[in-house]
Amino acid sequence: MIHAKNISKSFGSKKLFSDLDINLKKGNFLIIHGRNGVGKSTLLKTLIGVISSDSGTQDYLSNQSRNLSLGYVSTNASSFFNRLSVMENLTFFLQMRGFDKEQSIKKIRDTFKQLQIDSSMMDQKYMFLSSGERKKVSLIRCFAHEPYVIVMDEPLSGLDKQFKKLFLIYLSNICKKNNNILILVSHNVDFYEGLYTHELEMDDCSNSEIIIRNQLR
Amino acid sequence: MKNMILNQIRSILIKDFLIEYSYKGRFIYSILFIFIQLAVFYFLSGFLETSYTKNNESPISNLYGFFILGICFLDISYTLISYVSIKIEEYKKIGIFEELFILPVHPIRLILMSNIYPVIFSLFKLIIYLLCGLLFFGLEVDESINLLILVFTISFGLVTLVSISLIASSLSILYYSGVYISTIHNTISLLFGGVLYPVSYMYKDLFFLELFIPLHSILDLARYALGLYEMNNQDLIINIFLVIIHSVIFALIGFISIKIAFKKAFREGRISFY
Repeated sequence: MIHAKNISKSFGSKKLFSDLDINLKKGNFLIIHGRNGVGKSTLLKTLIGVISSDSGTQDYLSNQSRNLSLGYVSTNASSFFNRLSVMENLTFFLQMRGFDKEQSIKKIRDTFKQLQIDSSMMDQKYMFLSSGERKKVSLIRCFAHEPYVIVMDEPLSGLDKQFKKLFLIYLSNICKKNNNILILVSHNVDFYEGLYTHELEMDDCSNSEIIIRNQLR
Repeated sequence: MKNMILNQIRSILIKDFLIEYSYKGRFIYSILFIFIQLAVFYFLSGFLETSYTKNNESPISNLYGFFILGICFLDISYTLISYVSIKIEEYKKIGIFEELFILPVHPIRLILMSNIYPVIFSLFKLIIYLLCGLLFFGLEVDESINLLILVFTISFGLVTLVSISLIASSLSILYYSGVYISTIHNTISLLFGGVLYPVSYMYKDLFFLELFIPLHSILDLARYALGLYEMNNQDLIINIFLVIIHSVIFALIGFISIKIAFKKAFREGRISFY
């Protein structure tokens, strides 16, 4: 469960959001959208703990073990070690989460298969990948350890239509199966129509409110 | 929990090693540079030996050994202090720094774990310096090496230098400028730390500076342990005391600074990549 109460954040004189409440339970999918620079990414980063809020409380974040169950995709698709291969990169992140080498390799191979990504990419050095391939590697890092909470910031930007469709099916299946909590930032809300249960349109810090969609997945 | 920490240490070590190994040219040059330095100081010490040995009061029993240990520890200091802060600046630029902090590891522990590779690489360098000196350049060390003092000095020296690296890391986290700490440290040590000449040859008025330069006591003790420098019991005790005090003080400063840096960085979004 994610429980954030009255969280506010501003950078200098720029107020991004204030007194925001977010309550998400098992199986909830929150989609966040709004104009550029309104603070969508900052809100995500605040929720996962890489930025601390100015005020308010976050029950979920205070728990150190949260990161064991967190999967995150940022807008930056280059957040890997350039000199290492894709497999070395992904193994590192999984081993840091407590998996041994064999488990990590198995999980990575399985995720490649599930997302139907060309497995020959595994042995390539990360620096030689295209931007689309890098984004796919980010998605594998997010899903390989079977996270309970999935947080994604524009996860499909720069990816082809065919993969986007496939990813949507994968996301839908995995959330049905595991009852994940999903928080996603996207400008393309329609694409996720029928999947999300909560919607947050961030426009101005004073009038952001979460609309709860009575939709069942 | 213990297994998880060991797993994380091993993962970070392997990752750092693979990255360094991928820069083969740089790695080979860093080893080659040790040979170059050993050769330069071999000839320089031969050239200066006469003037030093003329002075019967000189505490230096082996000028080449004195030089070699000085440049070796200076080199190690640079590696230890700058390694993690260089990585932090690089990782912040590409955005991977943020990804590391959503892993189930405490930020300070992550920074400490990242210091393990430079510590191992520094010990490797120390062995290379001494072995090459002994095998190829006729470095002479006393037969009765004081192993206890040597291990003590290296251990506490590593604590001090890693602690200074925490200060450098703090500045890298906040301002992208931690590497300057290693430059400042090495410049001060080179001038007043007895790296290439004993502090007793220095301006008498600046003599008190050695109390604040950790490398000075570390070098004095390491040279004494290897029989390259003579020291009476009183000086020995003072140096041991200084090495301990420096490690405690710098460990405290390092720990506090990294804690403050993280607190400020999380608040101001400096960990994040936009």
